[in-house]
Amino acid sequence: MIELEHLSKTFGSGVSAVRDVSLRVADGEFLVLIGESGSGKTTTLNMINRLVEPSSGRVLIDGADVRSGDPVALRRQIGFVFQEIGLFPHMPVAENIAITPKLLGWPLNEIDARVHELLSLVQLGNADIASRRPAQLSGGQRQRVGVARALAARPKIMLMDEPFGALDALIRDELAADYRAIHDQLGLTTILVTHDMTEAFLLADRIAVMREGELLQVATPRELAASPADDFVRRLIEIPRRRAEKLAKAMQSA
Amino acid sequence: MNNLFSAGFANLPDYLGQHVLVSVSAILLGLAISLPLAILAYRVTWLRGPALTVASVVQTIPGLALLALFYPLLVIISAFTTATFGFGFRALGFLPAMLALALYSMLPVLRNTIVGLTGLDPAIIRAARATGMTPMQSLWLVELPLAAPVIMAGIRTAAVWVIGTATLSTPIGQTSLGNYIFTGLQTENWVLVLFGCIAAAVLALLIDRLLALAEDGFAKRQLWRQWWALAAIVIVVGVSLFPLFGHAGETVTVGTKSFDEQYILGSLIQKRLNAAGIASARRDGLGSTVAFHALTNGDIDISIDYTGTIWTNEMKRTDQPGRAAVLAQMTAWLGKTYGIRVLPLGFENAYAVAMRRDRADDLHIDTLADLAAHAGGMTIGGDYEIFSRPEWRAVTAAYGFKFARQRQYQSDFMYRAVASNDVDAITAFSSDGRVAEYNLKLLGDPKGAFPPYDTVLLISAKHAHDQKLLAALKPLIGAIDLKTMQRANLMVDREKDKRTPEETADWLSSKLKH
Repeated sequence: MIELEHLSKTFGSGVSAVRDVSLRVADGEFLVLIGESGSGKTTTLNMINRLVEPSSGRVLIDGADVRSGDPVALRRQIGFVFQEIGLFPHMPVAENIAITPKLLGWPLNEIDARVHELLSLVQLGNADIASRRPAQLSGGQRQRVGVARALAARPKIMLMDEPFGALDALIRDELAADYRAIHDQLGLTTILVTHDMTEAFLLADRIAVMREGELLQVATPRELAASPADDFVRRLIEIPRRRAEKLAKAMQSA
Repeated sequence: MNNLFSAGFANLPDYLGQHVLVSVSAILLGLAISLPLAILAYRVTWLRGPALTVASVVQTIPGLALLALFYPLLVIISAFTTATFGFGFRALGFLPAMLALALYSMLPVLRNTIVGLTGLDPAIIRAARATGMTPMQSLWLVELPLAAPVIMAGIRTAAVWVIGTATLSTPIGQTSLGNYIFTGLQTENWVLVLFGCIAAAVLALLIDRLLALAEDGFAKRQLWRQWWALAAIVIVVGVSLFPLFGHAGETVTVGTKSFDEQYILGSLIQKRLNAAGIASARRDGLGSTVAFHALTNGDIDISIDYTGTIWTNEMKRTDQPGRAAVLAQMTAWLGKTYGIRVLPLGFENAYAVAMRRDRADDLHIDTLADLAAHAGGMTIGGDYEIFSRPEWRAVTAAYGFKFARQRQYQSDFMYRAVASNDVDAITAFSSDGRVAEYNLKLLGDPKGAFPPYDTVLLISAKHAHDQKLLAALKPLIGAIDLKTMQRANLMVDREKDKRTPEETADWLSSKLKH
């Protein structure tokens, strides 16, 4: 279980990015953190694996404060996927995926086996991709490698910062669906940040809505649709609905 | 022409080896300082400004001045360590050259390393942290490999600069390809100057190409290119350094100042030492005071100097008791103060003001006293030293000179300048063959304002009682007269039938009076 307790972050410039956010994510849950840009969702995510340290409040994982231990050890236990993917351009795909197990000092044959296992998990197993450099991959392939790298050391928790945001629509849906399947298969706890309500509805067990650093509402997609906490949430959840209606109309007239 | 070339090639193994040795050491030392400093400045932001500013300021100091400044600095440090810890070190030659060049190499490496690291994609550095790398692991596994092509480009620039600038280490006693250039410049041997320039350029280009290959390897992430380049550099450096091995053992170092007569006499001394089975080395083209201090400091063992120079510059004397007395008192003083032994060669190479004979006769100028009346409308040319030397102050005070303009020349250009009327008078050297060649008139010094300048060999305290060495040099004592030396100097200076200092030394050897 991940618990955020009264988490706040004020940056050095005096900008209050996150204000008093409290939230619980159960084991095996898929939580989507949604909000506009500047709503504090990425900062909140980064405080979980201490890429950003909170100004006040705390984060507990399975009851233990994350700040009681070594941040490096913490990050090796948590998978992280970025929108920018951030593959290391000077390393071939296999080395990119192997990085965290290598840092943890796994035996080489075990790392090798794990890399191939992961490549087939993210559906890159049949292509001769392991020895290629990131620059030789398509965007979708790159993010699949990004997911494989995050999963390499068998984390229980995955943090994803708009992981599919920069991809083409088609690849994006495919990848999102594939990831949700992996989440279920491995029994992961995932917190995914997005600004796309459609994606949130499609992926999430629960959705947490943030605005201007504050948490407005946490609910299942169904609850959220039925009883939005305020006007902002209402407008936010209407976007996919309106889109769907427009789309249906356009399809009919065509 | 042919013999000039072959003289050039004969010295190539020694000069090239020394040049590569000092350059490579300087680059390695420079890297050892600037790479960690750049990485520190990358992490500690406030350090960037000061580090880059200091390196930039160093870069604005002309290479020659930077190299020259390290000599007195090391003399002071050496004196300090001797007094405090009981050991000194050689302040001339390799050490100051290497340190100055290392300093010179820092800016491009610092700048490129900082730029290369700060220019990295922040997403990749974030990814490195998120995958669980410590800051050190991130630096070694991600940041440095990714910045490597930019860093390599900086190292490449630094290497080319250092190899080029190393030619300027000759005047502080480090043999380099610059020996060709400086010797050539002094003896107006343009073939030799060109030879030195081309040799340095070829070396710089070769290293540049090989480092470019390594840089390419880093950029394309092809390990074999990097190894190939590294291996090639090791081979080039190894081959260049090879002739330097086997120079072991006790050698007597002959230091010369930067003009023809010194080169000829230096060569003559070396030939005599070698004939007597004494291993010898040369430190050519030293500055006048540098040479004297190098001798007292034990960096060189034999130098060729002039009584008046020591009299005024070192003994700080302003009186003028006459030629014999100056020699006697100087000999006693050097022996008592530094344990230096003095061997007079028999001729004087005095400072004297010279004019074109026709011009001087037209104006009825025979002496410095006659010149004083015309000085107000005249330009005087001199070498780099004379106008700041006490002798010149004494002369101007004695005759009340006030020249309209002063110009400084490389000493051989000075004679041409007066011959072609660019200047009206020059401070010539009486033993210089060009006084006769250009038909110059040496003006009399009725007030005896210039001191006498007997040419003497100075033997360092260490060898002052070395009987084998003294015996080898004995045939030179009092054996050279002014006319012979003038002819020898002219053989090196003249345009036609130009001789190398080595050939001239052989000729001079055959003309010794005994």
